[in-house]
Amino acid sequence: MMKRMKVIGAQALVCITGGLCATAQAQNIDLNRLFSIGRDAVTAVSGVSEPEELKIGREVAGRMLGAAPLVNDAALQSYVNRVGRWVAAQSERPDLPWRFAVIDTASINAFAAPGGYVLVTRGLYEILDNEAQLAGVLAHEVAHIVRRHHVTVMQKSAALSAGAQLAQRDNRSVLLNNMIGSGAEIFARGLDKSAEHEADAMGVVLAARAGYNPFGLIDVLHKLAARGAEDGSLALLFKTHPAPGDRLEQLGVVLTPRVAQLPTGRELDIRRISASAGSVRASQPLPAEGARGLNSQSNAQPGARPEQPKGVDPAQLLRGLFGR
Amino acid sequence: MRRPAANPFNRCLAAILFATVAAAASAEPVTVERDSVLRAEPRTDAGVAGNLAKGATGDAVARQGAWVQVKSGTVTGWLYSFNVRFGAVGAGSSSGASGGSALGRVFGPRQQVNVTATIGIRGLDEEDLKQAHFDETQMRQLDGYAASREQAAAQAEISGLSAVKIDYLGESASAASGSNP
Repeated sequence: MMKRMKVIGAQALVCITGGLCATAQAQNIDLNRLFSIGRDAVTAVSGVSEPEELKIGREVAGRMLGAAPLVNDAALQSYVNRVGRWVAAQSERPDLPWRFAVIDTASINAFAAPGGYVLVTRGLYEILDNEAQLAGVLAHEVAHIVRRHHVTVMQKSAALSAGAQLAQRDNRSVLLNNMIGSGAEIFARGLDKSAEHEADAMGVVLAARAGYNPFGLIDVLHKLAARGAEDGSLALLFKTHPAPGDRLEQLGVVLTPRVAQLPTGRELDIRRISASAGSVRASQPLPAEGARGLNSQSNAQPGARPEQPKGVDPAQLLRGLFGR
Repeated sequence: MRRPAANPFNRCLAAILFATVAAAASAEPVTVERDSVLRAEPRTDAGVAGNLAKGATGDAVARQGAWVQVKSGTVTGWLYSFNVRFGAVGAGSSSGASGGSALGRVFGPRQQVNVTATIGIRGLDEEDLKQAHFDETQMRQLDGYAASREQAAAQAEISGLSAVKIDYLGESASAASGSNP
């Protein structure tokens, strides 16, 4: 009986604190149906169907755009969608409803949400020199989606808090939200470097398959290494994710036996953001990224977070170019 | 495996950029991370200009694409940038911040921002995301920008891009799955 009450309490917390629970209700998505009743935690997560993946991804992407809107440049957005779709067409999931966008924030990052949503920040877009670099960045994100890395994150978070999950076996909605909620700790601690390295290696090949210079992504990693951890727009990423130098090293390992066979590909001029799109929105908040990055790390205590919100946070589901 | 012919404008632009980078990157210290063959030109099929062993040091004098031209002692040649790390000897390869200034000069201007100054840097972080609400209007706009496979292929064709079948790294040929449209 006590257990049951705790479950109900936890569910209320989830809904009060927002996240996917709230937005899912608004969208008439029944989380209990997303994860059919009667399966254990890992099976439930790994059994996510493509329609379920699309629904979750759309929720996440929609909240992301609520935080950082599209750059107001239709021609640019269409261009990025064509580049991205061409790259995605070279993958094993060419027919997902792929959506690509540049979002209006000065942070340097790119994100992938389940089901085919890829968002590149304006801060990152503006440091790109050519279309091959854009293709490399998009290809890395496409790889995350193709490999369903977000599902892996959810599986791992479920495993981390297995004890709590077992107590809630009879309520898949709570289970789901708890699993996703624990993604914050994973995001902060960086459990899954292998997913980033895999996305890097796949991204190089996907860009090459699309006819681009395969090394666009490598160029971007060098740019990030050059900026260093003390660059404000990168502070959080450097705190929580593999250093670009490590990623270059890993890429070197897998590329070396194959590099001579890779086609040179094309670099192509990149379309610049229209001047009429203005600069980053003045209405945007001015967060202290570095400090918050440190805070999110220090809060990474698996199994000891009953007071923390359990709602779905896009930051926990979005898999960044330098995040998971 | 030659680079496809670039149009004159691109060639000219590339030459200007190349010259600029080469000039700006003079005498940047570099450490070789892996035993490497140096090429006379930034192409895998170019002649061998020399060899550098892991740990060798030199100066990065130019960059082109993924290639960096390194001068070490009497040897000068090109190698892939992922096989070098920029910065003084002992800077290490696993720190994103190491050698930053040297790389910055090769790969672009470095922002002079210290940790304290990051407070107030405008950007998107986890707090923003937690407070964000699903934006249906923006999502509809996003849907409107979507490209079909056909539209994407058409732009690729105009750009001179052709799909190529390439295995993922570490895969055998039989595992190739370049699903070209």
